[in-house]
Amino acid sequence: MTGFIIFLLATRRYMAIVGLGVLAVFFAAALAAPLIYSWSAATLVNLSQALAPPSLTLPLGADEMGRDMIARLVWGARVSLIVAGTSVSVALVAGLLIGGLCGYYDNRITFVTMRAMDAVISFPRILVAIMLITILGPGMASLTLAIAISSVPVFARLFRGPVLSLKTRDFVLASRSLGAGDMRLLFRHVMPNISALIIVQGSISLAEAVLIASGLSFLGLGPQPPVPEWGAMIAQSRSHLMSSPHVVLVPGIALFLLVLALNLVGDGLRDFTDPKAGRAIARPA
Amino acid sequence: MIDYAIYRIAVLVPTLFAVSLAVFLVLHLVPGDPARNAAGPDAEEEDIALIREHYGLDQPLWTQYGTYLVRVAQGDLGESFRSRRPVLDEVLRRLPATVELAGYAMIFAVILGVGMGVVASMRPNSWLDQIIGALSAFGISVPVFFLGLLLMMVFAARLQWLPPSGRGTWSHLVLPVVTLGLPYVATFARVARSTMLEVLSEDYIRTARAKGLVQRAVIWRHALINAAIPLVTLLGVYFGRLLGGAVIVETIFAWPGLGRYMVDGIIQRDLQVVQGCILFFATAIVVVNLMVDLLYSVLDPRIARG
Repeated sequence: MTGFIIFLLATRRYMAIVGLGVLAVFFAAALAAPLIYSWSAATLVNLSQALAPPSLTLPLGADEMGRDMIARLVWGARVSLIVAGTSVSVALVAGLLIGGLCGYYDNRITFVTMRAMDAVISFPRILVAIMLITILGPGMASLTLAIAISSVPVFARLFRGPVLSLKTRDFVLASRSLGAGDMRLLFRHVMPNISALIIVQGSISLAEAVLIASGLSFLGLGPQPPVPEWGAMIAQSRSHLMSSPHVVLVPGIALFLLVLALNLVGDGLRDFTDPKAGRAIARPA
Repeated sequence: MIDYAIYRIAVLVPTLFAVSLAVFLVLHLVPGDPARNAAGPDAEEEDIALIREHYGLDQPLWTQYGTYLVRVAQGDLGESFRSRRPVLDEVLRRLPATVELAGYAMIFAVILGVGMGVVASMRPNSWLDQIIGALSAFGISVPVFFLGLLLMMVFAARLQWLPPSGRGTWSHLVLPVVTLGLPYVATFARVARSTMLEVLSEDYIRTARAKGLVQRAVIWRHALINAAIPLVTLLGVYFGRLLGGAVIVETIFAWPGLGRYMVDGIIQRDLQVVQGCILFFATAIVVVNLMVDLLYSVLDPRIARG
């Protein structure tokens, strides 16, 4: 982490540093949400202050149900980061297993598996996720699962290539000749060599997961009201866009900033880990 | 070349077969009784039984798939549980709207995106390059539905230059096309810039410069043609994503297309509608990918031979 920041400073990638800062704020908000605002502050209807504009007591105003926008924003950060974080972690593990095994073993089963992955990849992820949510029913858990499943093929294909080329490298052959088994070779010798790729792809996938999750929630396929999901908040408040723009602008800008920050950090990580990027170091600290 | 085309078209048949099976099976995993869902909460048991029989829902799964395939082959996608109208008619009625939206968005994204990418690549790290870079970071990160609402607020409500929703004149097209296309402008700009930078460092570009060609000819005639191949591959991938994005954009702008029809179908749990739409989208994506692959082999004949 320190190495990464020094790299960003040294190569004047200030936007990525700003991204890291923004991310830190969102993570802190998501972690501290239950400490700052109770769940009921974010969800209980209080029509006496409906659509209240930003003021001293309500710094970001209130939504059409009179709920404090800051409380909903902070809890929304928690919802978005939990959905995106869980789905990307699940998909990374599954993608690594499938991609790793399919790269390491070359037989009929892995061939068919990879063709199936290719077939799923050719469809837009949002359609795959919509199909899965149709089966699972809308909600936070099925949203997370749908996003996870729809990203598995992307990871599997991405990780298969490097595994395929790494398994014939001398250091792997050397430990095989020392008697290491397949599983030990795959997980102790091959996988650590794609850790940079995993980190870079993970951060970019987080941005994509946040976008898809909010888009599906906007369509009403994510967490149901009163759960404060940013995309769902925008969908529910959009009819008040003209009279009280803050109800749409607050969650919209938050969403944009979070995705932008994830993308900027992802770009920074790619330059940091890619040897072609000049003074980059091969492995992140 | 022709052999390759025939091979690719022949492969299309099993692919579409697999797609239909996947769509059919997946949507039959939906929990709950489709007949009961269709009948509504207050329906009598006899009515539910009648519906079950009418739609063949009492048959074994493989029989249902068989009849489904035969019906699809005859152009019958079933009828909506809600409106009782044939799904294919509804799909075909909405298709032109979606094709129009996605088509113009793609043209907008390719022209503006590739143009920006090429301009950025001509002077890397100049102020122009940095502005284009910042714009594409914005385009990649902004959620389409938020962008759509912002544009609607500014150009339809405040300035009243453009209609906020609906379809009809060209002015109805502007906001949805820009909303749907902008993220892809950003993506195309990024890819065009990086492939152009790669191509511009090739020997034949130096040769072209050495024989005295002006910058314009070097960039647009020599470099861009060679940078076009990765861009064409992207076209296929992004066409599918564009259709996915159309689902959201159509909802924002009340655009009477397929995407909105599908979302309504999901919310009303109208399985026939969802199945029909997904099958239609899937077929469109498979066919477009085929066309892109064929175009690709025209641009680079080595692919067909390989």
